[in-house]
Amino acid sequence: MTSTGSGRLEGRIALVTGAGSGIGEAIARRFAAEGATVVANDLTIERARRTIESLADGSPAGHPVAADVADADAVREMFAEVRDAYGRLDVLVNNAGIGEGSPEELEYVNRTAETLAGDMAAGRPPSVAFDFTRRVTDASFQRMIGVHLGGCFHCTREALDLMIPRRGGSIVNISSAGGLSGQPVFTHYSAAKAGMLGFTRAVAAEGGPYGIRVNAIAPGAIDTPLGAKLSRSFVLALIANAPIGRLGTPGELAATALYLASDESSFVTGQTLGVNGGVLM
Amino acid sequence: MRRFEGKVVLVTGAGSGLGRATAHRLVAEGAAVVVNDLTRDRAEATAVELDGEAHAIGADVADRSAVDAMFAEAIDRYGRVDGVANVAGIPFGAEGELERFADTIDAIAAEMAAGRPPSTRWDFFVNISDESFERMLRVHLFGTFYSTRAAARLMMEEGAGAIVNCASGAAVTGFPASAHYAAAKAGILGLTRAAATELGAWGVRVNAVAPGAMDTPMLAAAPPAFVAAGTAQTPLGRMADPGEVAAVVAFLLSDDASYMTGQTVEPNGGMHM
Repeated sequence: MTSTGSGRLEGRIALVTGAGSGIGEAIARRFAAEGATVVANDLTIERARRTIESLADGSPAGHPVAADVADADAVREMFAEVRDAYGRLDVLVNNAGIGEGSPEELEYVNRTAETLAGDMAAGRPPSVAFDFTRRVTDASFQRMIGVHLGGCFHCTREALDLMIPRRGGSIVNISSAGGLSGQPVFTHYSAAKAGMLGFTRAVAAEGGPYGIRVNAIAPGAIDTPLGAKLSRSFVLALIANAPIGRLGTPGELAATALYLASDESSFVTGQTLGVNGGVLM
Repeated sequence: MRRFEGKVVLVTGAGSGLGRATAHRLVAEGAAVVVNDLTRDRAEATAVELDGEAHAIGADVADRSAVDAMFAEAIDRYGRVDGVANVAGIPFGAEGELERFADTIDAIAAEMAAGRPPSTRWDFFVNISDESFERMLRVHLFGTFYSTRAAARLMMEEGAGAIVNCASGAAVTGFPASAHYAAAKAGILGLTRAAATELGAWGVRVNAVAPGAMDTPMLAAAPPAFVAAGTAQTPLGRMADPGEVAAVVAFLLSDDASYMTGQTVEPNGGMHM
């Protein structure tokens, strides 16, 4: 039951933010293989260009663009470039994201996860508990909200400018299982990702009469460069909680994004699809 | 798109509506489809339409031995079952329920048309009979249980498979005149999630769809004012074509959804988010 290259996005213009690596890169490649002209965004043009150069043979030529999605002016300029090049946009994937707020936060989470795993392996009750939130700096919180929720808002606003006059389009927001359920770490990340879900539903209600669909994906533990920064104990705990018993792949995320971007999901809007191996139901 | 080349998929309730649309969709993508409905004639009516391999089986999903026999027949014929879509359902449980539903809706609609806030009160729930409630649970919830269990037994041996259960918007939010239907459909969601937790490790995925208003025989029988009100509350401003919901079922059955299990996808035009 596999599918690649069936022309499911033939003739579509699709902008994918954070397309330089991980899930965004997989989405860009899959969309291009399905016939879309992909505009790949990342923080730097080099990263965006690397993805465009890796698109499968026979894919439509792609278009790299650089912008920090947290920067409203940079996003406006990026969309001006899309408008100049294509005059329209059919698909927007708000994927750009950051995992850890700061190296200190990541180090703290990994160290504590290892301690907890050691306790469990030795049959001891937990000797520590996370106290993540009080370690979060103002700057870290603002960056987390700015990239995920601000970026989603900035790009969606510009995309609607292109989509509403044409009475159609599909917007896919990459949220997180962390936006649906609680983990005692990365609480600013959960807040930003949950905000994206609220935004998804509200914009879906607004976009419906224009034929614009807005949906979200809430991935569980996916095997990405971001996840590779987490300690092995932390990742093992995630896998142990998933009935499918493994990490998801960026390609599996891309298949869901393709489904939501394409006409296959023509009656699906305002919804959140959990691609999480069953860790959250 | 040929995601089901070489695959065998069983669809219950495929004589009409969503089940029929699902059978069409799967055959178009290369599947051999086992077409089930309450009677062999109804199943056959869909099977003969299909431009591909199809086999009609009459079975009441509420009858455990009939369901087990159906899966045995599917195995006899094809040697495998890779996917199951549990769609079989009934709209109203008992005589007179549709009339009671329509009368109340019409009275509310008439008051609103006259510019009055509706004073009509529902008395559907308290008039649901024991038999109606039981029948509703038997077809939807027991039927889904029997079929999912039979499918899981086969798929666990194979170490692979996908099951999609058809719930309803009524399972995730409240509508009047639907307590028995909603209870059965919400039960399907619980069954889906619990089965998914066990079957994931066996390589078997179980998911659900909760469609909103769909242009099928089931809703054609509903009062027009009810359908109009539902459409007005739907951001996409229309009912679904059954093919659009069948596309969701096909997605969840396919490897495109290989990391999805225990999930409920709601193709409802945004009516419930």
